[in-house]
Amino acid sequence: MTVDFDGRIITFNPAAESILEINESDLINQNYAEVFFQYEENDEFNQTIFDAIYESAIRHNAVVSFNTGRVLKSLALTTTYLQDKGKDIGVIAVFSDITELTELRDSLKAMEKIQRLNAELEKRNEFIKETFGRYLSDDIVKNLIETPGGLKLGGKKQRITIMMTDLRGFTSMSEKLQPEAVVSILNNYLGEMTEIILKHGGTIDEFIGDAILVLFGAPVWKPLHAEYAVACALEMQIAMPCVNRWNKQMGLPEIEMGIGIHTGDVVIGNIGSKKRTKYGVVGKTVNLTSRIESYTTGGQIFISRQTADEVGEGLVTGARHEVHPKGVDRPITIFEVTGIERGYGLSIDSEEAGRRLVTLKKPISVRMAVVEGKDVGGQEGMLKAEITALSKHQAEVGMGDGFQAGVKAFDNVRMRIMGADGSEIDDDVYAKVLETGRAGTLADANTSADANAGANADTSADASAGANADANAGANVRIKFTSVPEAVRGFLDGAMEG
Amino acid sequence: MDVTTQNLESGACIVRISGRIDASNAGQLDARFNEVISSGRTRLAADMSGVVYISSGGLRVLLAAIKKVKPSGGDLRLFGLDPNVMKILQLSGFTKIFSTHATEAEAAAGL
Repeated sequence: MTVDFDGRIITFNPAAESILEINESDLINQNYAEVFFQYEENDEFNQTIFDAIYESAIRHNAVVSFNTGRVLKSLALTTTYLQDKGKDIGVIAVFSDITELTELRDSLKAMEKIQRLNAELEKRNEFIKETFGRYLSDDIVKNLIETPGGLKLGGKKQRITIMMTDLRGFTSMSEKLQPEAVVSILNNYLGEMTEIILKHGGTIDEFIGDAILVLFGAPVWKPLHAEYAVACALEMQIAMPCVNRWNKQMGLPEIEMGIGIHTGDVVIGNIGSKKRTKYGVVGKTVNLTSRIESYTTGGQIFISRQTADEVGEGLVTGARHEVHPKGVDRPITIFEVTGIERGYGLSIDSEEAGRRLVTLKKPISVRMAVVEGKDVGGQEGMLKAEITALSKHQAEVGMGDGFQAGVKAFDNVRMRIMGADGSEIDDDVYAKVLETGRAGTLADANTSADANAGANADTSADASAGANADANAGANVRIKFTSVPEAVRGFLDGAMEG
Repeated sequence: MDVTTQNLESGACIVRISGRIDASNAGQLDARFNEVISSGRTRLAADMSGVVYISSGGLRVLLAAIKKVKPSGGDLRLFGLDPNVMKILQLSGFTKIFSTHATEAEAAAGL
């Protein structure tokens, strides 16, 4: 199309006719303005033609829209100022219809946009996974993201295995540490443990301070839930030296973990109010797991008979104990796990392995009290006793006549130790009673527990039947330290060396 | 862009425009024309001597204004046109619609 300086369209070819949907015959006696100024949408088209006048030296290219009166098209437009022998003729406009191309480009853009949105969604899901995944298992997160009903409140009953872990003596240890140190100990520890738990298909239901509540067999059902739990617990204990190596490097105290495992029915699902919902479990099984865990000392794994039965062959157990947890009708049997075969080949030392105590030439005077529940305050009720034999983690304590109430296996005790100068070291030592017996019978005692008790073994053969036995005044107890202040540690180490 | 108006004793009105008339201010110019026209003045002359650029949108404003005043016997004349702007008016056929003049006196004569 060519326009002259009289506003006449002097050339208009058939291509222009079909693109602009204007017949050449309709242009006769019409000037440019009358044809091309009808629609505001044609401003860009007109402007590109005028640009050829304002900047006559160059060619102008633009993609413009054009309203034909019927449809809005996209045109690729090139305009050039036309001179002939120094005389101004007008402007040539060459254009092609790229509506389809533009639509294609738009749909490409739309596609790109969809892809971008998808990527964003993916990122967001990834973020949710990362945020919650740090605390929850992938299974729970997947369940939440993928099933719209996953967030519905409610639950179902299912037989699963529950694991509860706890750092022994950590609460009293953390009271003496800077908050930053507590957090870095926990983050390192929980990080290592989380990896192992997830590797064994465990679902971390929650972290409660230094404790971890783990589900095996939910939300995704796994037939070998008990076996997974036991293998996981063993690997967690095996990883503890690594955790402590890091602590040592960072100048932080070492920590010890106890693990309790139990198998049984629980109600499982999203529990809570509409505003705050949590995937979790309720039921006696959960409480009992926690009780079983409370019998452990650092490095130990205790499992219930139900878990032992569920695992069956391949389970390697150490001592068996009859215990009577609070809130449970009758005594239950718990097994110390020291290994699992069945292709895992995992094992840890049983508590018995660490029982070689050095008999002290000069006993260490202490004052000791049984800790009732979590109430550990006060100096009253502490009675005289003495440490007669010692190892790094354990001690044999001869109790004075004052212990009328008796001390039983699994009791937690708090003690104060007389230092070298004869005065009491002003810091509490915590320990758990492993077994009780007559004076002099413990340090050299043979371990009577079968190394491989087996899941279905008779309960009567009990390594430390003293769980419920009375330990009267004059008796000895073997204890395992759960929390030893640094000042005391140094003193005890010195005493061991004589 | 600046726009000022000057009412003549004859009842005509001079609309003085200066600067660039482009997409960003064409609406503003349109509003000023509507103001003048609705005040009853339909015999108009636009002083274009300060206009070095007028866009397609600006031309549409002039076209709309003349369409409003013509039916009631009014007019919109243009004077003092820059050579480039003049070329635009010629090419777009506006010189067939608007009468163009060199000076204000010429434009106002007989308006």
